[in-house]
Amino acid sequence: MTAPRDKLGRPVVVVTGMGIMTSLGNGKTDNWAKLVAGESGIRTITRFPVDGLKTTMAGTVDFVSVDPFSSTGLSERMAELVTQEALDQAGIGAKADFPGPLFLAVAPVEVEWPQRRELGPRRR
Amino acid sequence: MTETASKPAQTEVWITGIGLATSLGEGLDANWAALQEKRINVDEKGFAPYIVHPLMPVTFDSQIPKKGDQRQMEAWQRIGTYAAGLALDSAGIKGNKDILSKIDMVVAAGGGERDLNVDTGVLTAEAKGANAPGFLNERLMSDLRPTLFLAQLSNLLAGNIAIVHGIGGTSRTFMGEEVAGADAARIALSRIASGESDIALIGGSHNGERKDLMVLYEFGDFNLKDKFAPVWAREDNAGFALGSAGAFLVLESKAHAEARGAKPFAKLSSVVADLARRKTPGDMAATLEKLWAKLPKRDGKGAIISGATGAEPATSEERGFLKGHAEFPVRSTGTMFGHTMETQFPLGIALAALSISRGALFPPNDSTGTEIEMQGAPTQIVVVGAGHWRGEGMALVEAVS
Repeated sequence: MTAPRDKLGRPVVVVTGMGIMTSLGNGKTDNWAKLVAGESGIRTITRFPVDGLKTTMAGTVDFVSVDPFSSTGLSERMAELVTQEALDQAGIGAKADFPGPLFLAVAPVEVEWPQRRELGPRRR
Repeated sequence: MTETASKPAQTEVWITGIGLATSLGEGLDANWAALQEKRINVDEKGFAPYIVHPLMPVTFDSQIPKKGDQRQMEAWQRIGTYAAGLALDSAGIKGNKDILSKIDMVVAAGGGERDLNVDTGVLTAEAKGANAPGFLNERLMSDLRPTLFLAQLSNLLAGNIAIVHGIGGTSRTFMGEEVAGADAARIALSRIASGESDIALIGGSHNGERKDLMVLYEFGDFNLKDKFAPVWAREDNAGFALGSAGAFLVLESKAHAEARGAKPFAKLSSVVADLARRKTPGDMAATLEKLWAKLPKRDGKGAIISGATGAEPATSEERGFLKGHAEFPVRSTGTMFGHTMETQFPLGIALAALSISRGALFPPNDSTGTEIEMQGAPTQIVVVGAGHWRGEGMALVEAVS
Protein backbone atom coordinates (compact mmCIF):
# COMPACT_ATOMS: atom_id res chain seq x y z
CA MET A 1 0.00 0.00 0.00
CA THR A 2 1.37 3.39 -0.89
CA ALA A 3 0.51 6.33 1.33
CA PRO A 4 -1.69 9.01 -0.26
CA ARG A 5 0.30 12.10 -1.15
CA ASP A 6 -0.53 15.74 -1.63
CA LYS A 7 0.14 17.70 -4.82
CA LEU A 8 3.71 18.42 -3.67
CA GLY A 9 4.35 14.70 -3.21
CA ARG A 10 4.31 14.77 0.55
CA PRO A 11 2.55 12.02 2.55
CA VAL A 12 -0.91 13.15 3.66
CA VAL A 13 -1.11 13.29 7.45
CA VAL A 14 -4.47 12.72 9.16
CA VAL A 15 -5.68 13.00 12.75
CA THR A 16 -7.09 9.73 14.08
CA GLY A 17 -7.48 10.45 17.77
CA MET A 18 -8.07 13.48 19.99
CA GLY A 19 -8.34 14.10 23.72
CA ILE A 20 -9.33 17.38 25.37
CA MET A 21 -9.34 18.68 28.91
CA THR A 22 -10.11 22.32 29.58
CA SER A 23 -11.69 24.43 32.27
CA LEU A 24 -15.01 23.53 30.63
CA GLY A 25 -14.65 19.85 31.34
CA ASN A 26 -13.07 16.50 30.63
CA GLY A 27 -13.29 15.01 27.16
CA LYS A 28 -14.49 16.01 23.73
CA THR A 29 -18.18 15.38 24.42
CA ASP A 30 -18.37 17.47 27.56
CA ASN A 31 -16.28 20.29 26.08
CA TRP A 32 -18.29 20.46 22.88
CA ALA A 33 -21.62 20.43 24.71
CA LYS A 34 -20.62 23.31 26.97
CA LEU A 35 -18.95 25.22 24.17
CA VAL A 36 -22.05 25.20 21.93
CA ALA A 37 -24.18 26.04 24.97
CA GLY A 38 -22.14 29.23 25.34
CA GLU A 39 -20.67 28.34 28.74
CA SER A 40 -17.36 29.77 29.92
CA GLY A 41 -14.75 27.97 32.00
CA ILE A 42 -13.37 31.21 33.43
CA ARG A 43 -13.86 31.47 37.19
CA THR A 44 -12.38 32.95 40.32
CA ILE A 45 -9.11 31.31 41.33
CA THR A 46 -9.43 29.22 44.51
CA ARG A 47 -6.27 27.18 44.30
CA PHE A 48 -4.07 29.75 46.03
CA PRO A 49 -4.66 33.09 47.78
CA VAL A 50 -5.27 35.89 45.29
CA ASP A 51 -4.83 38.67 47.88
CA GLY A 52 -3.22 41.67 46.26
CA LEU A 53 -3.09 40.13 42.78
CA LYS A 54 -4.39 42.13 39.83
CA THR A 55 -5.68 38.96 38.19
CA THR A 56 -8.16 36.91 40.21
CA MET A 57 -9.75 34.84 37.45
CA ALA A 58 -8.50 32.05 35.21
CA GLY A 59 -9.69 29.06 33.22
CA THR A 60 -8.79 26.58 35.90
CA VAL A 61 -9.23 22.82 36.02
CA ASP A 62 -10.36 22.14 39.60
CA PHE A 63 -12.16 18.87 39.02
CA VAL A 64 -9.14 16.54 38.69
CA SER A 65 -7.70 15.31 41.97
CA VAL A 66 -3.95 15.13 42.42
CA ASP A 67 -2.28 14.32 45.71
CA PRO A 68 0.06 15.83 46.75
CA PHE A 69 -1.05 18.76 44.61
CA SER A 70 1.33 20.63 42.34
CA SER A 71 0.62 22.19 38.97
CA THR A 72 3.21 19.84 37.48
CA GLY A 73 1.33 16.89 38.98
CA LEU A 74 -1.93 18.26 37.61
CA SER A 75 -0.38 18.72 34.16
CA GLU A 76 0.82 15.13 34.19
CA ARG A 77 -2.56 13.79 35.28
CA MET A 78 -4.40 15.84 32.63
CA ALA A 79 -1.93 14.59 30.01
CA GLU A 80 -2.61 10.99 31.01
CA LEU A 81 -6.36 11.46 30.77
CA VAL A 82 -6.40 13.20 27.40
CA THR A 83 -3.78 10.82 25.98
CA GLN A 84 -5.98 7.89 26.95
CA GLU A 85 -8.97 9.53 25.28
CA ALA A 86 -6.98 10.10 22.10
CA LEU A 87 -5.57 6.56 22.04
CA ASP A 88 -8.98 5.03 22.66
CA GLN A 89 -10.36 6.89 19.69
CA ALA A 90 -7.40 6.08 17.44
CA GLY A 91 -7.45 2.42 18.47
CA ILE A 92 -3.71 2.06 17.97
CA GLY A 93 -0.88 0.50 19.96
CA ALA A 94 -1.06 -1.37 23.25
CA LYS A 95 -0.66 -0.30 26.85
CA ALA A 96 2.71 1.47 27.22
CA ASP A 97 3.51 0.69 23.61
CA PHE A 98 2.69 3.45 21.14
CA PRO A 99 4.27 2.90 17.72
CA GLY A 100 5.74 6.36 17.28
CA PRO A 101 7.40 9.31 18.96
CA LEU A 102 5.76 11.45 21.63
CA PHE A 103 5.68 15.21 21.24
CA LEU A 104 3.95 17.28 23.86
CA ALA A 105 3.81 20.86 24.96
CA VAL A 106 4.42 21.70 28.61
CA ALA A 107 5.02 24.72 30.76
CA PRO A 108 8.42 25.00 32.47
CA VAL A 109 8.66 22.52 35.35
CA GLU A 110 9.66 24.02 38.65
CA VAL A 111 9.58 23.35 42.35
CA GLU A 112 6.48 25.15 43.65
CA TRP A 113 6.04 27.11 46.83
CA PRO A 114 4.52 24.38 49.04
CA GLN A 115 7.35 22.03 48.07
CA ARG A 116 9.94 24.79 48.28
CA ARG A 117 8.79 25.56 51.80
CA GLU A 118 9.41 21.96 52.78
CA LEU A 119 12.99 22.41 51.62
CA GLY A 120 13.47 25.76 53.28
CA PRO A 121 14.11 26.74 56.87
CA ARG A 122 11.56 25.28 59.28
CA ARG A 123 8.89 27.60 60.57
CA ARG A 124 8.93 28.27 64.25
CA MET B 1 11.95 5.05 16.55
CA THR B 2 12.32 8.21 14.58
CA GLU B 3 14.93 8.88 12.01
CA THR B 4 16.12 11.42 9.56
CA ALA B 5 18.63 10.45 6.95
CA SER B 6 19.56 12.09 3.70
CA LYS B 7 17.96 9.72 1.23
CA PRO B 8 19.40 9.50 -2.29
CA ALA B 9 16.81 11.92 -3.70
CA GLN B 10 17.38 14.39 -0.89
CA THR B 11 19.89 17.16 -0.68
CA GLU B 12 23.12 16.93 1.31
CA VAL B 13 23.13 19.02 4.50
CA TRP B 14 26.32 20.80 5.46
CA ILE B 15 27.45 22.24 8.76
CA THR B 16 28.72 25.66 7.73
CA GLY B 17 28.80 27.47 11.08
CA ILE B 18 29.72 26.53 14.65
CA GLY B 19 29.38 28.72 17.76
CA LEU B 20 30.78 27.56 21.09
CA ALA B 21 30.88 29.26 24.48
CA THR B 22 31.84 26.69 27.10
CA SER B 23 33.72 26.10 30.33
CA LEU B 24 36.84 25.72 28.19
CA GLY B 25 36.50 29.04 26.42
CA GLU B 26 34.84 30.91 23.63
CA GLY B 27 35.14 30.13 19.96
CA LEU B 28 36.58 27.21 18.05
CA ASP B 29 40.29 27.89 18.56
CA ALA B 30 40.09 28.25 22.34
CA ASN B 31 37.99 25.12 22.73
CA TRP B 32 40.21 23.15 20.37
CA ALA B 33 43.36 24.27 22.19
CA ALA B 34 41.94 23.27 25.58
CA LEU B 35 40.93 19.86 24.22
CA GLN B 36 44.42 19.35 22.81
CA GLU B 37 45.93 20.20 26.19
CA LYS B 38 43.36 17.99 28.00
CA ARG B 39 42.42 21.02 30.07
CA ILE B 40 39.26 20.65 32.17
CA ASN B 41 37.68 23.57 34.02
CA VAL B 42 35.89 22.36 37.15
CA ASP B 43 34.86 24.15 40.30
CA GLU B 44 34.81 21.70 43.24
CA LYS B 45 34.35 24.38 45.91
CA GLY B 46 31.81 27.00 44.84
CA PHE B 47 28.85 24.60 44.93
CA ALA B 48 30.33 21.99 47.29
CA PRO B 49 29.71 19.13 47.62
CA TYR B 50 28.58 19.42 44.00
CA ILE B 51 30.94 19.97 41.11
CA VAL B 52 30.33 22.25 38.15
CA HIS B 53 32.13 23.22 34.95
CA PRO B 54 31.64 27.02 35.05
CA LEU B 55 31.44 29.16 31.91
CA MET B 56 34.75 30.71 30.93
CA PRO B 57 33.80 34.39 31.20
CA VAL B 58 32.92 36.10 27.92
CA THR B 59 32.29 39.70 26.96
CA PHE B 60 28.58 39.52 26.21
CA ASP B 61 28.67 43.01 24.67
CA SER B 62 30.38 41.67 21.56
CA GLN B 63 27.35 39.57 20.56
CA ILE B 64 24.57 41.25 22.58
CA PRO B 65 25.36 44.96 22.20
CA LYS B 66 22.34 46.38 24.04
CA LYS B 67 22.63 46.28 27.81
CA GLY B 68 18.84 46.26 28.04
CA ASP B 69 18.75 43.01 26.06
CA GLN B 70 21.34 41.47 28.36
CA ARG B 71 19.46 42.59 31.48
CA GLN B 72 16.15 41.01 30.54
CA MET B 73 17.80 37.62 30.00
CA GLU B 74 18.97 35.14 32.58
CA ALA B 75 22.41 33.58 32.22
CA TRP B 76 21.34 30.57 30.15
CA GLN B 77 19.75 32.86 27.56
CA ARG B 78 22.76 35.18 27.44
CA ILE B 79 25.05 32.16 26.90
CA GLY B 80 22.81 30.85 24.12
CA THR B 81 22.29 34.17 22.38
CA TYR B 82 26.04 34.70 22.51
CA ALA B 83 26.88 31.25 21.09
CA ALA B 84 24.22 31.67 18.38
CA GLY B 85 25.93 34.90 17.32
CA LEU B 86 29.27 33.11 17.13
CA ALA B 87 27.69 30.44 14.90
CA LEU B 88 26.30 33.11 12.54
CA ASP B 89 29.74 34.76 12.45
CA SER B 90 31.35 31.40 11.75
CA ALA B 91 28.99 30.77 8.84
CA GLY B 92 29.68 34.26 7.49
CA ILE B 93 26.04 35.34 7.61
CA LYS B 94 26.03 37.70 10.58
CA GLY B 95 24.14 40.79 9.52
CA ASN B 96 23.25 39.30 6.12
CA LYS B 97 19.61 40.39 6.07
CA ASP B 98 18.61 38.33 3.03
CA ILE B 99 19.68 35.08 4.66
CA LEU B 100 18.78 35.95 8.25
CA SER B 101 15.25 36.88 7.22
CA LYS B 102 14.59 33.28 6.14
CA ILE B 103 16.85 31.20 8.40
CA ASP B 104 14.86 28.67 10.42
CA MET B 105 15.64 28.09 14.06
CA VAL B 106 15.33 24.91 16.14
CA VAL B 107 16.40 25.33 19.75
CA ALA B 108 16.64 22.84 22.61
CA ALA B 109 16.05 24.51 25.94
CA GLY B 110 15.19 23.91 29.56
CA GLY B 111 14.47 27.18 31.29
CA GLY B 112 12.95 28.17 34.56
CA GLU B 113 16.01 29.94 35.94
CA ARG B 114 14.88 31.47 39.22
CA ASP B 115 15.82 34.52 41.22
CA LEU B 116 17.30 32.75 44.24
CA ASN B 117 17.65 35.94 46.26
CA VAL B 118 13.91 36.51 46.09
CA ASP B 119 13.10 32.87 46.85
CA THR B 120 15.38 32.68 49.88
CA GLY B 121 14.17 36.09 51.08
CA VAL B 122 10.58 34.83 51.09
CA LEU B 123 11.49 31.59 52.86
CA THR B 124 13.50 33.42 55.49
CA ALA B 125 10.71 35.91 56.17
CA GLU B 126 8.16 33.11 56.41
CA ALA B 127 10.41 31.23 58.82
CA LYS B 128 10.43 34.36 60.94
CA GLY B 129 6.64 34.35 61.08
CA ALA B 130 5.41 36.27 58.02
CA ASN B 131 2.37 34.12 57.31
CA ALA B 132 -0.35 36.54 56.19
CA PRO B 133 -2.30 35.14 53.20
CA GLY B 134 -1.15 37.84 50.81
CA PHE B 135 2.47 37.88 51.93
CA LEU B 136 3.87 35.68 49.17
CA ASN B 137 1.93 37.54 46.45
CA GLU B 138 3.07 40.89 47.75
CA ARG B 139 6.73 39.89 47.85
CA LEU B 140 6.71 38.24 44.44
CA MET B 141 4.98 41.24 42.86
CA SER B 142 7.32 43.78 44.40
CA ASP B 143 10.62 41.83 44.37
CA LEU B 144 10.63 40.10 40.99
CA ARG B 145 11.66 42.06 37.95
CA PRO B 146 8.74 42.34 35.51
CA THR B 147 10.90 40.69 32.87
CA LEU B 148 11.85 37.72 35.04
CA PHE B 149 9.11 35.55 33.62
CA LEU B 150 10.38 36.21 30.12
CA ALA B 151 13.82 35.19 31.30
CA GLN B 152 12.42 31.87 32.50
CA LEU B 153 10.51 30.76 29.45
CA SER B 154 12.08 28.07 27.29
CA ASN B 155 11.07 29.58 23.96
CA LEU B 156 12.42 32.99 24.92
CA LEU B 157 15.91 31.74 24.12
CA ALA B 158 14.82 31.52 20.48
CA GLY B 159 12.96 34.80 20.97
CA ASN B 160 16.08 36.56 22.20
CA ILE B 161 18.22 35.11 19.43
CA ALA B 162 15.69 36.34 16.88
CA ILE B 163 15.59 39.84 18.40
CA VAL B 164 19.32 40.29 18.97
CA HIS B 165 20.54 38.75 15.71
CA GLY B 166 17.59 39.72 13.48
CA ILE B 167 16.41 36.25 12.54
CA GLY B 168 13.10 35.99 10.69
CA GLY B 169 12.38 32.37 9.68
CA THR B 170 10.37 29.75 11.51
CA SER B 171 11.18 28.95 15.13
CA ARG B 172 10.76 25.74 17.10
CA THR B 173 11.79 25.11 20.70
CA PHE B 174 12.11 21.62 22.13
CA MET B 175 12.17 20.85 25.83
CA GLY B 176 12.95 17.40 27.16
CA GLU B 177 16.53 17.23 28.40
CA GLU B 178 19.24 15.57 26.33
CA VAL B 179 17.09 14.23 23.51
CA ALA B 180 15.57 17.65 22.88
CA GLY B 181 19.02 18.47 21.47
CA ALA B 182 18.96 15.42 19.21
CA ASP B 183 15.45 16.24 18.02
CA ALA B 184 16.45 19.82 17.24
CA ALA B 185 19.13 18.49 14.89
CA ARG B 186 16.85 15.77 13.54
CA ILE B 187 14.01 18.13 12.62
CA ALA B 188 16.29 20.74 11.07
CA LEU B 189 18.09 18.08 9.03
CA SER B 190 14.78 16.63 7.90
CA ARG B 191 13.45 19.99 6.76
CA ILE B 192 16.58 20.91 4.83
CA ALA B 193 17.10 17.43 3.34
CA SER B 194 13.54 17.41 2.00
CA GLY B 195 13.84 20.90 0.53
CA GLU B 196 11.42 22.61 2.93
CA SER B 197 14.20 24.79 4.30
CA ASP B 198 17.53 26.01 2.92
CA ILE B 199 19.31 26.97 6.10
CA ALA B 200 18.78 26.58 9.83
CA LEU B 201 20.32 27.66 13.11
CA ILE B 202 20.13 24.91 15.72
CA GLY B 203 21.51 24.42 19.20
CA GLY B 204 21.01 24.98 22.88
CA SER B 205 22.45 26.57 25.97
CA HIS B 206 22.72 25.67 29.62
CA ASN B 207 23.78 27.41 32.79
CA GLY B 208 25.23 24.75 35.06
CA GLU B 209 25.96 27.24 37.84
CA ARG B 210 22.46 27.08 39.29
CA LYS B 211 21.76 25.91 42.80
CA ASP B 212 18.07 25.49 42.00
CA LEU B 213 18.98 22.92 39.33
CA MET B 214 21.20 21.05 41.78
CA VAL B 215 18.26 20.83 44.18
CA LEU B 216 16.08 19.38 41.42
CA TYR B 217 18.66 16.82 40.36
CA GLU B 218 19.45 15.92 43.95
CA PHE B 219 15.90 14.56 44.26
CA GLY B 220 16.96 11.94 41.70
CA ASP B 221 20.46 11.50 43.20
CA PHE B 222 22.00 12.54 39.87
CA ASN B 223 24.64 15.02 41.06
CA LEU B 224 28.34 14.17 41.10
CA LYS B 225 29.68 14.93 44.57
CA ASP B 226 33.01 15.67 46.24
CA LYS B 227 35.56 14.73 43.63
CA PHE B 228 35.82 15.08 39.86
CA ALA B 229 36.61 12.05 37.72
CA PRO B 230 36.18 11.34 34.00
CA VAL B 231 32.66 10.07 33.26
CA TRP B 232 33.92 6.53 32.60
CA ALA B 233 35.59 6.41 36.04
CA ARG B 234 32.56 7.22 38.17
CA GLU B 235 31.19 3.77 38.87
CA ASP B 236 31.90 4.11 42.59
CA ASN B 237 30.84 7.75 42.74
CA ALA B 238 28.20 8.11 40.04
CA GLY B 239 26.62 11.35 38.87
CA PHE B 240 26.94 14.24 36.49
CA ALA B 241 28.75 17.50 37.01
CA LEU B 242 26.62 20.22 35.47
CA GLY B 243 28.35 22.32 32.85
CA SER B 244 27.69 25.74 31.41
CA ALA B 245 27.75 25.90 27.64
CA GLY B 246 26.13 27.26 24.53
CA ALA B 247 26.51 25.32 21.28
CA PHE B 248 24.93 26.39 18.01
CA LEU B 249 25.30 25.16 14.44
CA VAL B 250 24.35 26.55 11.07
CA LEU B 251 23.00 23.74 8.89
CA GLU B 252 22.60 24.43 5.21
CA SER B 253 21.75 22.61 2.01
CA LYS B 254 24.79 21.95 -0.14
CA ALA B 255 23.31 23.99 -2.99
CA HIS B 256 22.59 26.98 -0.74
CA ALA B 257 26.09 26.86 0.73
CA GLU B 258 27.78 26.53 -2.66
CA ALA B 259 25.74 29.37 -4.14
CA ARG B 260 27.13 31.76 -1.54
CA GLY B 261 30.61 30.24 -1.53
CA ALA B 262 30.41 28.91 2.03
CA LYS B 263 32.87 26.23 3.10
CA PRO B 264 31.56 23.28 5.14
CA PHE B 265 33.12 21.97 8.34
CA ALA B 266 31.44 18.62 7.63
CA LYS B 267 28.11 17.22 6.54
CA LEU B 268 25.34 16.03 8.84
CA SER B 269 24.23 12.76 7.25
CA SER B 270 21.75 11.34 9.70
CA VAL B 271 20.11 11.89 13.08
CA VAL B 272 18.04 9.19 14.78
CA ALA B 273 16.32 9.15 18.15
CA ASP B 274 14.36 6.77 20.32
CA LEU B 275 13.00 6.30 23.81
CA ALA B 276 14.09 3.01 25.38
CA ARG B 277 11.82 1.80 28.13
CA ARG B 278 14.84 1.13 30.40
CA LYS B 279 12.94 -1.33 32.56
CA THR B 280 15.57 -4.02 32.74
CA PRO B 281 19.36 -3.94 32.35
CA GLY B 282 20.27 -4.03 28.67
CA ASP B 283 17.17 -2.18 27.42
CA MET B 284 19.06 1.03 26.77
CA ALA B 285 22.05 -0.71 25.18
CA ALA B 286 19.68 -2.61 22.88
CA THR B 287 18.11 0.68 21.78
CA LEU B 288 21.55 2.16 21.12
CA GLU B 289 22.34 -0.89 18.94
CA LYS B 290 19.12 -0.33 17.00
CA LEU B 291 19.99 3.32 16.42
CA TRP B 292 23.54 2.37 15.41
CA ALA B 293 22.15 -0.01 12.79
CA LYS B 294 19.91 2.76 11.43
CA LEU B 295 22.80 5.07 10.61
CA PRO B 296 24.18 5.05 7.07
CA LYS B 297 27.05 2.69 6.32
CA ARG B 298 30.30 3.41 8.06
CA ASP B 299 33.28 2.37 5.97
CA GLY B 300 35.54 5.35 6.54
CA LYS B 301 37.85 6.24 9.40
CA GLY B 302 35.38 6.30 12.25
CA ALA B 303 35.18 7.60 15.80
CA ILE B 304 32.50 8.16 18.44
CA ILE B 305 31.79 11.29 20.47
CA SER B 306 29.66 10.35 23.46
CA GLY B 307 27.53 12.57 25.65
CA ALA B 308 27.53 10.06 28.52
CA THR B 309 26.63 11.88 31.71
CA GLY B 310 28.28 9.87 34.49
CA ALA B 311 24.88 9.05 35.99
CA GLU B 312 24.06 5.39 36.51
CA PRO B 313 22.92 2.97 35.27
CA ALA B 314 22.86 4.83 31.93
CA THR B 315 26.63 5.38 31.76
CA SER B 316 27.49 1.71 32.37
CA GLU B 317 24.92 0.63 29.80
CA GLU B 318 26.43 2.97 27.25
CA ARG B 319 29.94 1.78 28.05
CA GLY B 320 28.77 -1.78 27.39
CA PHE B 321 27.42 -0.66 24.02
CA LEU B 322 30.68 1.12 23.19
CA LYS B 323 32.73 -1.99 24.02
CA GLY B 324 30.86 -3.75 21.22
CA HIS B 325 32.26 -1.13 18.82
CA ALA B 326 35.76 -0.95 20.24
CA GLU B 327 37.28 -0.30 16.81
CA PHE B 328 35.85 3.23 17.05
CA PRO B 329 37.93 5.52 19.30
CA VAL B 330 35.63 7.20 21.85
CA ARG B 331 35.65 10.70 23.30
CA SER B 332 33.43 12.00 26.07
CA THR B 333 32.05 15.52 26.10
CA GLY B 334 30.81 14.96 29.67
CA THR B 335 34.37 14.62 30.95
CA MET B 336 35.62 17.72 29.14
CA PHE B 337 32.62 20.07 29.37
CA GLY B 338 30.45 18.64 32.14
CA HIS B 339 26.84 17.75 31.56
CA THR B 340 25.14 20.52 29.64
CA MET B 341 21.78 18.70 29.30
CA GLU B 342 19.88 19.98 26.20
CA THR B 343 23.14 21.38 24.81
CA GLN B 344 25.15 18.12 25.00
CA PHE B 345 24.01 16.72 21.64
CA PRO B 346 24.54 19.91 19.59
CA LEU B 347 27.90 20.23 21.37
CA GLY B 348 28.77 16.68 20.29
CA ILE B 349 27.87 17.44 16.66
CA ALA B 350 29.92 20.65 16.84
CA LEU B 351 33.01 18.80 18.11
CA ALA B 352 32.56 16.06 15.52
CA ALA B 353 32.43 18.64 12.72
CA LEU B 354 35.37 20.50 14.20
CA SER B 355 37.46 17.31 14.49
CA ILE B 356 36.72 16.38 10.89
CA SER B 357 37.56 19.86 9.62
CA ARG B 358 40.80 19.98 11.62
CA GLY B 359 41.85 16.54 10.43
CA ALA B 360 42.21 14.95 13.87
CA LEU B 361 40.14 13.70 16.74
CA PHE B 362 40.94 15.48 20.01
CA PRO B 363 42.98 13.37 22.46
CA PRO B 364 41.51 10.94 25.01
CA ASN B 365 41.16 11.95 28.65
CA ASP B 366 40.27 8.87 30.58
CA SER B 367 41.92 6.47 33.02
CA THR B 368 39.72 3.43 32.32
CA GLY B 369 40.79 2.49 28.80
CA THR B 370 37.39 3.37 27.30
CA GLU B 371 39.03 6.17 25.31
CA ILE B 372 42.03 5.26 23.13
CA GLU B 373 44.38 7.27 20.94
CA MET B 374 43.49 7.80 17.31
CA GLN B 375 45.96 8.17 14.47
CA GLY B 376 45.03 10.02 11.30
CA ALA B 377 42.05 12.08 10.29
CA PRO B 378 38.51 10.89 11.09
CA THR B 379 36.06 10.96 8.17
CA GLN B 380 32.97 9.62 9.97
CA ILE B 381 32.06 10.46 13.55
CA VAL B 382 29.03 9.08 15.33
CA VAL B 383 27.59 11.35 18.03
CA VAL B 384 25.89 9.37 20.79
CA GLY B 385 23.47 11.09 23.16
CA ALA B 386 21.95 8.85 25.81
CA GLY B 387 19.96 10.78 28.39
CA HIS B 388 20.76 10.49 32.09
CA TRP B 389 17.22 9.29 32.74
CA ARG B 390 15.63 8.59 29.38
CA GLY B 391 15.87 9.22 25.67
CA GLU B 392 18.55 8.20 23.20
CA GLY B 393 19.82 9.99 20.11
CA MET B 394 22.54 9.37 17.54
CA ALA B 395 23.96 11.32 14.61
CA LEU B 396 26.45 10.67 11.84
CA VAL B 397 28.76 13.53 10.90
CA GLU B 398 30.92 12.96 7.83
CA ALA B 399 33.68 14.61 5.87
CA VAL B 400 32.41 16.29 2.70
CA SER B 401 33.74 14.27 -0.22
